Amino acid sequence: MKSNRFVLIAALVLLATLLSACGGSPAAATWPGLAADENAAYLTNGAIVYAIRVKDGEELWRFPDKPSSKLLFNSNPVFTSDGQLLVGSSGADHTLFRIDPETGNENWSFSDADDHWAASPLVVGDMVYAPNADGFLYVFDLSQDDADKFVTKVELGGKLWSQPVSDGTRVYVPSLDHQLHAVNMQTYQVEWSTQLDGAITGAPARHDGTLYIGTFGQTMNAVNASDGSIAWSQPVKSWVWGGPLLDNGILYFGDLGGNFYALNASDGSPVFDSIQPDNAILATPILFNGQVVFVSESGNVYSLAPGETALSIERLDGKLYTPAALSGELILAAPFQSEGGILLVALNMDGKIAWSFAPEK
Amino acid sequence: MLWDTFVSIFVNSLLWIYNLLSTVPGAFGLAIILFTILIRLVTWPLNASQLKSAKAMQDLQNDKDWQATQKKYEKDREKLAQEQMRIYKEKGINPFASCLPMLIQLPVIIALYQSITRSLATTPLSLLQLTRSIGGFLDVSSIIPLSSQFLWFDLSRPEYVNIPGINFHLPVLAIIVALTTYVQTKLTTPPSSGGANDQSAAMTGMMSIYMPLMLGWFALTFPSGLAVYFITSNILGIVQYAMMGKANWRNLLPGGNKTQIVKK
Repeated sequence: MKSNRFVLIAALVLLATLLSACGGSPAAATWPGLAADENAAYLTNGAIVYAIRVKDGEELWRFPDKPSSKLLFNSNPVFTSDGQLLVGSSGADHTLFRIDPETGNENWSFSDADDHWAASPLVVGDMVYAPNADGFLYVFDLSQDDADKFVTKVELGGKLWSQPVSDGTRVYVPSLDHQLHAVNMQTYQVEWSTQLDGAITGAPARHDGTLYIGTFGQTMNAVNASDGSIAWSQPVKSWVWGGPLLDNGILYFGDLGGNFYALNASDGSPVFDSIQPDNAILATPILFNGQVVFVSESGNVYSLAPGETALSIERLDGKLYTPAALSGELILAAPFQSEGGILLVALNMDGKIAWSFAPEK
Repeated sequence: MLWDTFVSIFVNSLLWIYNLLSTVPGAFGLAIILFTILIRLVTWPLNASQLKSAKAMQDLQNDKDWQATQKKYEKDREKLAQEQMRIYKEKGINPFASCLPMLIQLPVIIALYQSITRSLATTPLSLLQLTRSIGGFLDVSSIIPLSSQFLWFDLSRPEYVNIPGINFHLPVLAIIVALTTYVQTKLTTPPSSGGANDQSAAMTGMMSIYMPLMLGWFALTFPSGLAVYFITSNILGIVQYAMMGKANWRNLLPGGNKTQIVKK
């Protein structure tokens, strides 16, 4: 009888484990987030935030000391005006942490949001605007005492997965439910909400009273910041995941079909015919030494000089979904599902790997 | 790859129903319910076969010849096993017939579970996988994001009802999942011989405790869309057994199982 009981319990535990593994939230349920300054890179991966010395790729610290299965970090950390790190958890524990970048110690946290933090917060001076998947924009004033830092929350609806942008007057917050909202930074009132043609997962680019944003409706759109009206909408070949890079009046972005575009910000007309280097392009491009650098799902890092064709400067082990970051003269790229367990790679100006970081277990 | 294709078929079926109902409030919750009904209908013959086989096995436990054989070869396990196989052959019982349909259904259950969690896309990676799972006959731009609100809860998150005044979060769906699982297990328990060696009854008794606890725990920790699936599936199971005239309602009462044995 005891052996039967054991077999039954073992079978149930096996089934529970099987189902949990099949669809639950394992440690690295999604790709990492990345931010960097001149000294260190800060990488969010699974239940851990790593600080890595940029000079040589050595681990400086990890947060928290003891990983919790309830924490899951995947958004890009951001720096506050006084140099602290802000990062939210998208796990079962929905806490937004402020961490000392020198020591990795938590020095403030907020746990009252109802859902996960998928988007990076926006920092404007002492103010922090943090979109949450519960549909609220949380506003904090970091100059206040810890107990008074939370100012208000603004209901926008939908799941907020994208980092907002600001022009000093309004905060512009995209939503998965196809909306782009403008929130007044003084009154916290929603001034306008514009319905676009698909879900928005990327952060908008902003310049001169216009917001530029791509959607799952396979369009890149220019929206007037003053009233939310759509200035132009340019069809593209597939769904746009990341936000565009705006440089010299040109919007650079990729899509899930692997196409890469350059459009004139003034009217959405193509600067050149879209190119298709290899695989899906999710991450927002960055600017490095006057060249546009973008990454693709197949692990390629590309460089595009004005008027020239895209050049693969390195192919990394793993998939690249996370936007690359810059630190001094290094390009930092964070591969996902690397076979070698590599979480971060530094490329020098020649496009060669300077170092790679795989955490010790 | 093959498994992924299998799950994608489920995802697209689920989203196709969702798309049909997209103007109705709580469309995704309704889609889960309808899709579960569809799956239950398709697997109805398998469930029926499983129940019949289980009943035949249980009847054997109450068979006087078999009980006598069990007593006779109490200390000779090998001989008892040989006799058991002989009796199975005589009575036309296939000992695997009761678990085979369950084994066939297991991938379907796991695929359904995965299709629900994939459709709810709670992380960027799962959203990316979802966009790639959707067939060309569905309009991604209108489907994503799924409206995950259903009744009073969000299908993409575990469900709790806040009890005002005492600051307590009551997991209503998890409780209903545990209760309906318990009821289903009890109703489908055939009468036992009540003998000291009735291992089958003891196993069923343990199942009626562990299964509700396990599924209740799933409902407590995973997106509540899964709880909707469990509840619908349990209710349909109870309805199926009742329609087949095999539900033992007395089992729900304390000691009901043994009362029935006395009457037999």
